[in-house]
Amino acid sequence: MDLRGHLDLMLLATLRDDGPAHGYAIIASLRERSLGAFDLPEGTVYPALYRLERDGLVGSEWDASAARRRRVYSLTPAGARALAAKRRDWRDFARGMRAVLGPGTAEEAG
Amino acid sequence: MSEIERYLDELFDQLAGTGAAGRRALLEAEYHLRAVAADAMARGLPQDQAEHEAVGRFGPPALVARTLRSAGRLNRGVSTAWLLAGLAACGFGVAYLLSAWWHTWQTPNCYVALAYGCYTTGMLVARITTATTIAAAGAALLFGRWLAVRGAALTSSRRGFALRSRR
Repeated sequence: MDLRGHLDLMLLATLRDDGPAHGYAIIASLRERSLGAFDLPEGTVYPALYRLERDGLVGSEWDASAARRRRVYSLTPAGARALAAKRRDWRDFARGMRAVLGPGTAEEAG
Repeated sequence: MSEIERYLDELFDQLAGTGAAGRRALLEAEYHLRAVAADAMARGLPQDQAEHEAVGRFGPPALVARTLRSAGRLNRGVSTAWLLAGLAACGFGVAYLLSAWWHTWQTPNCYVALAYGCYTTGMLVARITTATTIAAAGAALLFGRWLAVRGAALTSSRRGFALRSRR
């Protein structure tokens, strides 16, 4: 499945639901929540987090309490607003696609 | 040398020139890889297999470096608006100055030809100063954009993420 353009939405949603988390935890949660459907090269998720941070949608700080320093990410108020807007767009898009494609067949489900 | 160490060395090479973003990415990559390997070992995998799994899941160093460089790119809309503003200011200022020079050369004693209401030398000087300032501001905008693009280019290669699931 091509995830281009959807990763931001998934990352923001994960941070909203899970709260502040480091990259590894975010990726693990993403995989678990998607029931394994989205199996990204994990190293490519970090640049997406950096981009979201640059755009002010995500904040981050070093957590020195762990044995190794790790970066903890959290959703900013602007990120929460962006997430709400992206969710609306996605739902409109999905509703439109469902209307065009119609219900799935038993063959597709199998 | 362990597989994770080799991977980090290669990633370090690939991230050359990315500055603070690259250093941070390297730190996070190391934490991530060691955490994944530790989890795999907790599941019973031997260390070499656990590290192999961690590295495999992280993705090729070249891909990771490329996505990091892409993330550092200047926003295309901002970049275009910046360029157009610079060109417009430069164009307006230079066009006015050329026009002033041309009319002054054609009619040295007739300032009226330069613009409506431009009757005095003082007004002419004021307008030329304004035009020069606008042209200079445009040039500054273009130079600033060049610096920003050049800075972003140090941490960019091509646009967009090539994120695909392995399914």
